[in-house]
Amino acid sequence: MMMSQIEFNQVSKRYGAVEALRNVSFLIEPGDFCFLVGASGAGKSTILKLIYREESASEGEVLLDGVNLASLSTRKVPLLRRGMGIIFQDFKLLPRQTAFDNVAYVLRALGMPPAEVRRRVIGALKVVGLLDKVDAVPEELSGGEQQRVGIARAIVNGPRLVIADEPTGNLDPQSSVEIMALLEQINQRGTTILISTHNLAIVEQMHKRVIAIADGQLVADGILNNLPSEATIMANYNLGT
Amino acid sequence: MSNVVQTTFANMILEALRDVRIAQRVMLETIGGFNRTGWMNVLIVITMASILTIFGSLFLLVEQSKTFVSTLGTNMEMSVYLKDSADINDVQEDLDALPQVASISVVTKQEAWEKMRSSYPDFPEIQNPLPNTIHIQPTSPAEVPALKQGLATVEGIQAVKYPFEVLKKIQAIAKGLSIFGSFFTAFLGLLTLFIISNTLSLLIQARGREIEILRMMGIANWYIRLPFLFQGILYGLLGAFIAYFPVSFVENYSLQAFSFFHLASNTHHLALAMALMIGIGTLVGGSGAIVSMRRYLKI
Ligand SMILES: Nc1ncnc2c1ncn2[C@@H]1O[C@H](COP(=O)(O)OP(=O)(O)OP(=O)(O)O)[C@@H](O)[C@H]1O
Ligand SMILES: [Mg+2]
Repeated sequence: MMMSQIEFNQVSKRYGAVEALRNVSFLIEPGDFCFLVGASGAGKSTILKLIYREESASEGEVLLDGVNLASLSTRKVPLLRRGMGIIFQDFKLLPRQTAFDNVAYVLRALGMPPAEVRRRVIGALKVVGLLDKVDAVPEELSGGEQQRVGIARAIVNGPRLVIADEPTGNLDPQSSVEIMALLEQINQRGTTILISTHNLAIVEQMHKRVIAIADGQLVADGILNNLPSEATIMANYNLGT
Repeated sequence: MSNVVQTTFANMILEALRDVRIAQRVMLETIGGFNRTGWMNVLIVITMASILTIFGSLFLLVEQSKTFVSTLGTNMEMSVYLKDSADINDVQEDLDALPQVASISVVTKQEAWEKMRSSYPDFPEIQNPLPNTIHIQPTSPAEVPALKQGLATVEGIQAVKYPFEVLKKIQAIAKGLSIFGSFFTAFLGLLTLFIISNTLSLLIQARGREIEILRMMGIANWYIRLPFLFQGILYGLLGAFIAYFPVSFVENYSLQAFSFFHLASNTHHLALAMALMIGIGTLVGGSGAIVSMRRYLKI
């Protein structure tokens, strides 16, 4: 039997009195490209945080490659995160370091030989089209460029899964489309991609699988064609910004 | 088979190289921490060097007094200095008559003077200022008070030196110094620990966002923490290194003072003092770092 890469099984998550997720279940298979949509506060970030073990489920199971993350000790969390790439709305780049150094950081911390680091970092920066900005620090880069560095950093270790929490939330429409196209291109090399987003216009264009959440509950899961139209989603499930 | 051995051996070398590179990285991160601490580094190292100097100097003085006391403590000899007007033989007879006296030896003015001139050839040509001296060996230390009373009845004595009392005083001073030194060192050590933990706390807070990013990137906790721990420990080591100079000066100076009494020097004290200073510095600096990480670098 083939294992799903990500499995949410009746997952609930409470922050104190706030119930952020209720009985959420879904499967994501290796190589999937999946959007996570929902209104602000619906619980998108919470789902992603459960996957990279920033939070733990209050009830139910979150399994990664069949491993229940609840059984993972705190010490193993860094290893878990190195096995995936995580992309954020605010880029989360190290401010004083160049694009190259940002992408190289993890590899160097793992003691990889400099030549190998260079080969991989240049490779990743080439994928995101930033070879001309290798030595720029974040404040010298546009938002779109910073997010490209973020993507290069996410893929430099060759992860099988890339998670992005509103990767285009701080970007103009043009850059947003480019970033999504880049993630799709990375997906085509076999990497599983899970993106939370508000940007329904892009979601509609891309015809990918969409998991929709409203008020902490899963309300729809499927290719957008089979889903209600954007207007209906907005009306019925209170989605969008 | 040999292929397997070769692969394992090659792997061992590769892993060792990798560990060296990781250590280099951690060192670079540590240097980065020092860079960001700025002028506070100077203040911390000076404070650290000061407490270690105080501790080291007190430790040396106490240890040397102990050696001094234990070297002299076995020697119960008392010295009786005679008035110039007194007759040596008369006094000697009177002393012999005292029941607490076990034996007596006489050093005349001339003998003492010649001995002194031969030890210090450059001594100026002055008139012999030394008195006739009679050294008394008491029958036992317990008899010393009675002997003291007996001596008071003997005529022609200018002064008596009771080594026991001097030793007791030195012992008392040494004890006082070591108690005072322990408290003072503990107090200043806590103060230094507090300064270091505060400084590193500020540094951790200033780097809060960066540390958060590193965590998201999957950087191991020890890799994030070690540079702070090393920075704390290095303050201790740097402080001990600087404190070495004043403390070894104190060592030389006090050895000179004690060698005036013709005592064998005990140089191992400096090595022991340095070892303790390094230990205390490491402990204070390391604890300061750990305190700050406990408070602001929760995993
Ligand atoms: N650490 C927290 N403590 C308390 N409540 C939290 C915490 N994190 C999230 N929540 C709450 O949980 C709910 C879901 O939050 P989450 O961040 O998952 O939403 P989201 O879908 O990502 O929203 P957005 O689109 O605004 O990013 C919200 O009601 C939020 O207020
Ligand atoms: Mg969110």
